[in-house]
Amino acid sequence: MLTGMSDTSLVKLAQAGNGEAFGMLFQQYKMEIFGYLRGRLGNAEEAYDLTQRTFLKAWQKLPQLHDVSKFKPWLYTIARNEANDWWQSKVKTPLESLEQLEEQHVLVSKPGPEDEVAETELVMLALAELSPKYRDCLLLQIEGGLTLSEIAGMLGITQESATTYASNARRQFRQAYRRLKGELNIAIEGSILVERRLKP
Amino acid sequence: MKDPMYTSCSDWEEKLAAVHLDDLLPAERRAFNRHAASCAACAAILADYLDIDALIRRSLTPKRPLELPQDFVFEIEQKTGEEQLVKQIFANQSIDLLQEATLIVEEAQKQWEEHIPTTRRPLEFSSRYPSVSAVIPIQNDDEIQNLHYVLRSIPPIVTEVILVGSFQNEAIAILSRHLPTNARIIVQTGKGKSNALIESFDACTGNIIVTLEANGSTNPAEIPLFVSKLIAGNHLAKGSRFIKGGVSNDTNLLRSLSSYGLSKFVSKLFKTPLSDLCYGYTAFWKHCLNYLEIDCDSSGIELETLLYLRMLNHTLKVVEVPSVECPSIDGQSEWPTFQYFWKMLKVLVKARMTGRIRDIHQSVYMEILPNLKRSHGLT
Repeated sequence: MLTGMSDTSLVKLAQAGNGEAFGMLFQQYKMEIFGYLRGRLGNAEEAYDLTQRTFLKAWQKLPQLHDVSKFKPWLYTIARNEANDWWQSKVKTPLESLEQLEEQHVLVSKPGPEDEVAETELVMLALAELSPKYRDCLLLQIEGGLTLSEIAGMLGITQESATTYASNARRQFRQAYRRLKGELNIAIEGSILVERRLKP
Repeated sequence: MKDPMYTSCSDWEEKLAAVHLDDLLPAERRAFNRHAASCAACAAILADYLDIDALIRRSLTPKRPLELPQDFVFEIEQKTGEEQLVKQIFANQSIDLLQEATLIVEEAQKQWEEHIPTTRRPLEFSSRYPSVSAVIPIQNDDEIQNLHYVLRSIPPIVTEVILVGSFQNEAIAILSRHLPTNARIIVQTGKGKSNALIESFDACTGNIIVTLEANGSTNPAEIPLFVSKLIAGNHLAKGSRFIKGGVSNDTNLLRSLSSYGLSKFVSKLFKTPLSDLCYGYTAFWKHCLNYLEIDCDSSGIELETLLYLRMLNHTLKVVEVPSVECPSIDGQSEWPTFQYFWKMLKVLVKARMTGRIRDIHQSVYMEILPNLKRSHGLT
């Protein structure tokens, strides 16, 4: 019944207590919020939990949202705070090494196409090499589709700084991903050689 | 034309890394297209960045369904149930129409607060202009029980809510528990709804008075529509279920036909287009009461209808507003009797016979209104 309604109308209805409208907002934003959190945390299971908590908080605090047109940046602010709290509770530095990722079971051996799993792992490793502020900025831009001015507002920095962060983040990610992919290819080739030598 | 700002490949690489091609300004985009036509390296970099974005998005998608926790869903459904109930009771007008009307009224209130210094405001003005009093006559205990459904739908532009009726102490105690801070209870000295309304009009402090029904058949969310019509220069705004945008969810064929017949009769009698005489949802400037003779002896018809007729007699500007009549909360609708129609006809004819044209003095409200309207383009 609410299909086709604008986000603004859905938010207003949800503010009035309409759960159906909130459910539609959840369906609309859950994937990107999950993607943002997974990128921030480097951990899929925690990202599931934090996505749920983000929407739980959004539902509770929705009546306090004055400018309904700013729902999306507002939602991302909640998600970002959740991610920051999570990191603080872990009292750990952001992901830095392959070993650390392995410890946290990020590099899961889930069933599925091997290439896809490897690709995901490489992306997570490349993201982990970025500094937290660059990673945050890049994820908000790619997953959230937020503008640089919105990101600047959320992070409390100037738009010029947000532009620099985004630019550096994308370039560093590109370099890191290429390097890691190269290393992986060398490792695979090496293991194939070893296997051939072992064969009778 | 010379490319505006980015000339070297390194400049473009930095720019493209920060924004997507779609985010570039038209001039920048044209400049890049010219550059990319002769620079395969930059075109490849852009393609690479687009691939990276797609790669990150693809990699971060959840691998299993993502749903809300069950207890949270239950909480939402519980609240939705309450909201749906209110929604059934108050079938809303067009949201866009209500939003537009709300903006007009809020803008008028803001203009008043900003441009008229407190010291220069007439005493009878409150800090907000126009201040709006919503009057709800309460006829029985059932209406008290269901009143919270009406009160929760009253929009923020309403500055005062007046509940009027012949209450006993017990009823007042029940009422007091659910009242918003801007509500007052008036105990009427006489009997009947018309008397209640007249007594409450005296107690209203608002510049505008809106009459609502306690049974929920009039949707308070529509108040901005009525108020915006008054701000536009009309003296009285009368709800109509039978013009475009209006509808009744609480009527039957007999009631519709009788209401239609009466409305046509009055249209002929007063030479004015009128579509819905028997609907009580009305808003008017309080100062208009100074020029009208309202007697509740003509009970037997709604006071709002009488008010409307008196306004017509005095050539005040009256306008109809589309309104959605909601089903009564208690499910009980009043059925007009033959005596009701007979009394109504007598009052109508009498009103027409005794009516006289009277010039209305320009009040302070009318002097201020054109300035207000000009200042925020409402003319």
